[in-house]
Amino acid sequence: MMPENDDNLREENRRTDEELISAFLAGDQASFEELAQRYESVIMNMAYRLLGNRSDAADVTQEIFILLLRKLGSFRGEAKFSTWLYRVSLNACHDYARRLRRHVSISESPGDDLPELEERLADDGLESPEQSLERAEVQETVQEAIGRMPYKFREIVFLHDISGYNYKEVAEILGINLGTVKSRLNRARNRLAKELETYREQS
Amino acid sequence: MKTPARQTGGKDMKCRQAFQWMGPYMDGELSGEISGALEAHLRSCPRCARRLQSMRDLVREVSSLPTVEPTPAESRRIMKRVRHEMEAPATPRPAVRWAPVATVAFSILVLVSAASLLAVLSTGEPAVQVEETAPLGSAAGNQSRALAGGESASLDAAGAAVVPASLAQPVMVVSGNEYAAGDLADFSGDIGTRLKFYSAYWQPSVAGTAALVTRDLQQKLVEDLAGRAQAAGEDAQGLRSALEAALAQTESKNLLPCYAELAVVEGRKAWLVSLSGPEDCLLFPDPEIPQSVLLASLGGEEGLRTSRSLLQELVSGMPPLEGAVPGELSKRTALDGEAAAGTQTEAPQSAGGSADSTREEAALRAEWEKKFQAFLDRIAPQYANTKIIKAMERLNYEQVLMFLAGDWSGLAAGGVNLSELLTPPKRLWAVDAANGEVVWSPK
Repeated sequence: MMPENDDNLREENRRTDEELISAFLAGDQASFEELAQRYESVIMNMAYRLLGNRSDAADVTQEIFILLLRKLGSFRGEAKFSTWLYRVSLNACHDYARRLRRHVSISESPGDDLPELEERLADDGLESPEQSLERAEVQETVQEAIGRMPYKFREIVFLHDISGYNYKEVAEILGINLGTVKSRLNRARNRLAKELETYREQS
Repeated sequence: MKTPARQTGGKDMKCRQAFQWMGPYMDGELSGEISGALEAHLRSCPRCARRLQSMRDLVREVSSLPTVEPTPAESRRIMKRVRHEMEAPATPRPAVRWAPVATVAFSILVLVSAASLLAVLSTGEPAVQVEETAPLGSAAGNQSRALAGGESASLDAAGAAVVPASLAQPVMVVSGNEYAAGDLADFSGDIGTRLKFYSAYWQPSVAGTAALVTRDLQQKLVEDLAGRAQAAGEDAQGLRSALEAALAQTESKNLLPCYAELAVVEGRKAWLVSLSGPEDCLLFPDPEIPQSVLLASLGGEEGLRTSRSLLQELVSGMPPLEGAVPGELSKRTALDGEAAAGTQTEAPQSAGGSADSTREEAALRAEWEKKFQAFLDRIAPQYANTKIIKAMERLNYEQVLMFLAGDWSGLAAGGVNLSELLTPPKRLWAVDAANGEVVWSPK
């Protein structure tokens, strides 16, 4: 899923992120609500993919918006807002993951709080029920494999392969160099690919 | 699994190198020339071709994972919380009310105080006396002009001017409440007044002036409280003696009597008296008060007792900061289990140097984070103050370093709620109303 990009998604009357931020900092609370609504799904999806659990994802999404309320004043506009937002949110998810790790065993079974597989299948008429089931199982396998990786691998896979950021943008968001982006992403994918292969061999 | 660095045709490319280029190749981030070389290798090496296929397969699956969106109920809950947060009354933010004219002077004070804070933390002794801090004095001079409206007001005159009658009146209560000595450690009746006093006297914008007129203020406040006792038909002289007994027991002269309660402690009629100090800022649940911590340093060791003992324990359980010798770390190639198992972990050669340092940093970071978590696990059962443990759990690697270095400003700037990490001292005394004997003190 591509993040909202204010260049290609902007409508005539749609205010940019930066305009909303300025309005909020000038005292207009509705602007922050608009900004929150704009990014709610992006952050929720990020949190879900990084934490592997729906209720944690909702909790951390809420935490991230509270954090943004406090931090927006320090957004200097040096980077694009979405870059800054991703950075802040990824850090918040990381902190949350560590808290989880200390208090409960983290994501032993990612997706535990989702409905049963069969109930989750969308009946779009394009796939047979068997195909849908298989697809859902593969997705579950991939999500679980993501959840077992170190956080830095999870976030890079999320940014590049799920969110569609290119290497340069990933480097900017994570504050690492291009070489590290390449090698880290390669390692993460290699690891996931092996797990997926093992799954396919077994099923 | 280890891939042998074998020659497999496809010009001279090795499988190891081919693997490093696969990702950029798939992502269209590889130059044409290298892409050609990689393709040649793939034609002659079925194993690498399979590997690439399996990575492509994986990326296709990952990128087609469905987007998880909040349900309408989750969305409502999130937005409700956001609105609640926006509508909550803002906590005091001293930095905002900073008089610009004092900023430069205070930023010098910041340096001085940071140094003194470190000294306090490491030796347990206040390193800088308030009265000797020149920049504080100049801040005070500027501020006193602003408050008194006069030029070069003498300090006494500034002192008189800085006590606005409308602000921070001390509180005197005749409660008759009965307290056991054990209750007093948790006594909170004075908290509201201490917060008001912080805002009126210790907040950075007025701290300089207040610090210089403390003794004068102390006497005024003692008399004020005694007057209130008299007006309530109680023994003014008894309260005066109680306050003086409390003041005599404190090392710091930088304290103001703010609260007195006539109660019964351990069966004896006694005055509970509370003193306000600059560290009372720590009573604010406000993460954005870096200056407050510098003021805390002026309060000396008492203000930071909890954190200091934690710090000492932490330092003893962790490797020294300077122990991070890159040479030693570079001997290790493993960052995690996968790397340890021998998978290629090299960054492309062009970025080799910085990738090495990144790896060293990551290894160091991982090691420290592990040690820090182990440290928390170990001390958690021993500490009654779960708030501090919880706050420490939330620190990330950089913040742990700041914590160790006593970089409170850095922590505050990163959004860490310092009031959870630092505990303001209890400055409450119970003094027998009849004979002036101290019945209970914080130590």
